[in-house]
This record gives sequence, C-alpha cells and structure tokens, in this order.
Amino acid sequence: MSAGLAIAGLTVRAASAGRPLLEAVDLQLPAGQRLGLLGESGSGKSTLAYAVAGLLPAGLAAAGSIQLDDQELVGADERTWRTVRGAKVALVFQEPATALDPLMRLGRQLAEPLRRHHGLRGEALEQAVRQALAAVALDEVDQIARAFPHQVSGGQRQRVALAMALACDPTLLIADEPTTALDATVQRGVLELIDRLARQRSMSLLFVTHDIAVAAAVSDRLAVLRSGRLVEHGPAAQLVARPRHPYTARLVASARRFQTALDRAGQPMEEVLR
Amino acid sequence: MKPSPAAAGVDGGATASPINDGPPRNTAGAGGPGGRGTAPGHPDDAAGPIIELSGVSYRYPGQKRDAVNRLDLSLGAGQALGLVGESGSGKSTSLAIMAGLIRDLRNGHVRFEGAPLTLRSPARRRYFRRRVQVVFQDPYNSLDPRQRIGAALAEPLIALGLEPSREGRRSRCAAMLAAVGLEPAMAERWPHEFSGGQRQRITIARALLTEPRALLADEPVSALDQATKVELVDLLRTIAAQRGLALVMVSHDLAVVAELCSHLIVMARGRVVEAGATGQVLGHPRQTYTRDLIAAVPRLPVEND
Repeated sequence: MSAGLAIAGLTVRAASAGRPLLEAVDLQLPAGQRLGLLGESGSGKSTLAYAVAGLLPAGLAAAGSIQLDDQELVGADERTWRTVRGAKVALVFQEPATALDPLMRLGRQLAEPLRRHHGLRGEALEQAVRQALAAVALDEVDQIARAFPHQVSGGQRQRVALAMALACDPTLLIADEPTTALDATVQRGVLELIDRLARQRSMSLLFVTHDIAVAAAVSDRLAVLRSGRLVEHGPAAQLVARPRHPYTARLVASARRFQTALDRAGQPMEEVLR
Repeated sequence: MKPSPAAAGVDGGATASPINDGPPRNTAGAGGPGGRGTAPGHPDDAAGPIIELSGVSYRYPGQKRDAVNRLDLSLGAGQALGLVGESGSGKSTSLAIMAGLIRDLRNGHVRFEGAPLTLRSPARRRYFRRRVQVVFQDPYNSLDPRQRIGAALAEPLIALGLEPSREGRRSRCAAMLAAVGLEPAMAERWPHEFSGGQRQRITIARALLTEPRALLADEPVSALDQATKVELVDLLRTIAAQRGLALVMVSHDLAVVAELCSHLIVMARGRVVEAGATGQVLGHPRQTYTRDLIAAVPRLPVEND
C-alpha cells in the first residue's frame, strides 16, 4: 500500500486534435516525497496537475495511466473521483480567492470539509477549525474564522486555502503556483509552511511552478516539462548542479544570473552603473 | 542634498539628482564640486530629465492614508529605475501617476520633458500618449484574443494618427516585430498561438511603435520562467539603450531589478524607504525592510558534499 503516485505514458489531447498538451509522460512520486514540476506557461504543467486531480476541462482527454496508491485514475468515473479528490488528493491554486466563497466566513468554509469527512459537529467541529487554522500558522485564529475572505491578506487567504486542502489529511497535495501572486517575504513564509506540513504529515507534494529556485526550495526532486514532454527529472540539487537537457541548463543559468546580479550589489558604483 | 549646478540650470528648483536623494551626480560630486557628471553640457543634463516627480502624494478616494506619500524622482534618457516593494507599497500607483493615468494629486507636481504634465489640450495629450508607453504584467490581458497580432500592433499608430497608410503600418509593424526578436510573418497570427514570453515581446513591440521616450513597465516578467525572464530583461536593456529610453520597472522581484536597473526606489506603505544606485541600496541596505526583501529572494540549492 501507499505506493504513491505513478504516471505512465500519460498523453492529454484536446478533442479538436492538434498537438497534444502532454505527450507520453512518465513520472513517479513515491509516498511522502516532494516533486517540483517546472515549466513555462503552456508547457503542460498545470494540465498534468489537473489530470492527477481529475479536473481536466471538458474537451480534454487523458490516455495512459495515473495510479495513486495502486488505484487507476485514468478513465475513473465521477463516483470514484469523489472518493479520491479532497480525501486523497487535495489542491491549492495560485489565486486563493478562487478557492474561497467570498460570501462565507472563513471558519464556516473550513468547517465544511471537516464536517463532511470527519463527521464532526458542535464544539468538536469548532475546535477542529481552530486547530486547522493554527496548523497553517495563523495567529488570532478566532478573528480569522469570523472574517470574510476579502478581510484578510493574500498570504492569510492562501493559508486558509491550504488549511481547507489539508482538512481531510490527503496523501497527495498538489500546489499549482501557490506563491506566485504573493510578495517575496510572504512567499517565503508560505513555502516554509508547505515544506513543514508535508514533512509532518508524510504527505506527498506535487509543486507546480515556473520558478526553479522556488521549486528547489520545497522539493526533493525536480521534473522539467517543455511543450508537453518531460525533458528531464532528477534530485533537485543534482539537477541544478548538472543539468543535462539544454532547456534545464538555460533555466539554471538564467536563475544563477539573477542571483549573481543580486549578489554583485555592493560593488563599486562605477562598475554597477557600467 | 543641494541641487547640483548643472541640473539646477535645467530647471531651477526641481529635484536635482536623477533619483530622489541621489546617486551618480552626488557620488561624482563627492570628489569635489563640479566633478565628473555635474559638468555643464553633459549630454544627459542638456537633454534634461524626461520624467520628474516632486513631492507627489496621492490618496485613493475613501482611503485613510496616502497610497503614495511625498515621492520625488527624476529620470533621464537611458536611465533605468526600479520601483520595488510589497503589495500596497504604492509602486503601481506611482507608475500610474507617471503614466498620466492618475492626475488628481493631493500634493506635488509631475513634469514631463521639463513641462508640467497637464493633458487638457488634445494635442498635448496625444503627444504624451505617444511618448510615454506602458507595458503590463499579463500579456494575456493586453492582447485581444480576437485580434491578429498585426492589427493589435497597428492600433496605436491609427489611434494617434501616426501612420495613415495601411502599407506603411504593415511595414512598420513588421520591422518592429523583428526588432523584438519575432518573425515579421507572425503579424498574421493570433495571440493564443504564442507563449507568454512571445506575447510580452509583442506588447513591447506595440509600445515601441509610437517611438516613446519613456517606457513604464509594471511587473513585465513576473509571470515568466527564468530563462524567458532573462531574454526579456536583455531585450528591455537593449531597446532602452538603443533608443535612449527612460525606463521604469515596477517589480517585487529584486533580482530582476538588480539585473536591469541602475537605480532603485524601495517603497513601503506609500513612502520611500530607501533610494539610490542599485548597488548601493542592495549592497548596503540601511533599512530592515530592504534587508528582509533581499533575504526573501529564493535561492538555488547547493549540492552537499
């Protein structure tokens, strides 16, 4: 049991034909491991995340195999998906506001999955909501629980969305650019939180991003997608130190150049001004 | 800081240094009055600043504090200024003020090419729209999905009456696509056929078609992977240098600003926290806020053993 995620020969194409969005992707994510999925916009990285969550838009068809803990998900019916999505696979998105009902207090939204999946009621439910908010490092738990989504900051909203995703103790968390819309300092806090929660819960993490430094910060392994094909994958530090595919090499070199530009600061003014 | 003589000569009383409290002229001046860079007749000084803000404050209706509070800056041809800070720091509002999109200021003045920015006369407004162009973060929102690239590029030429002939527009657009590293034949294609980086090249091409003197970019590369980011930063640097543009870039990405901008203004809650030459500010940050921003930039892992 608990074999984790195994993707084999996954191809996703639009009904209207054309180039497939994903082509023959093979990828393993053993239980409890953390994988960073890298690629530019249009590379197919979000398509892959949606395929694993059974959220491919109508008109996109998946072929091949996606197994989660030895259960085949390609071709699964909606009834099967309801036992998988939320309970085994949970998602957080780039824009937490899309995951939250703007007209419902945050505490009530968070209570819903806890009630449905754990059968909690009354005082026990309230307690569970408080615990879930505290687990994502939110202070002033009661105040947040009473607030509407627009009354808290972007970083706090993403933490609440994360708390909702984790409410049912999923074995796999898919995070699709969860920090792209956040400030750098807030991003760092959310990344540390995701990293810590994944470790504490021995949860697998599929972290989708266009930023190689961010991906490496929360992942053991990195996989690089380009035009729907997996071009390279391997341990994060190794892939960064010795990229094999030219595109990966370009990503690493570019990231290094920005890093160097930042480090170079403080040199004599004439040099900086060129 | 006392205004340096040369700059004061251009425009008595306005902020003297290129940026707020500072950099190159002051640094040069540190060697003694009339040092390099302050000499009258220096090309930049002769041309004068393109955009100047002095004591600019703006408050959104119904808000309790200023979105931008007492902002001073001055930017000349060929200079690149980065505006950094977190959400709500006022950096995008500052850009909107420079773009003439916000004009009911509480305090202060905006000058463009030395003259106060009033857009009451249609001719003056057309001139300003032509000479100051803006590029936004999300090229998906900047390009109409139902419009071919060629038509999207031609639009400002038509709107500003810059090129009456269809053939003339076509050849100008083709040349500009080539200038930003795209195939001229791409004019016939649709926005959805392009990657995020290509789309951003298209919006830059459109901005350049009106021959602007200032290019204002709001998080132009934030949604792109690092490889594409580097390409676009290089493109922006090249075109800014070739065309002598004054470039302003709003970004929360300090590394991108460090790579592209000679000067930097760090903002928080509408106020300038620190300003100066990029190397000075990033190398010797005086404020905790700036140090936190620098520390928060994610870094590549290093291999153990």
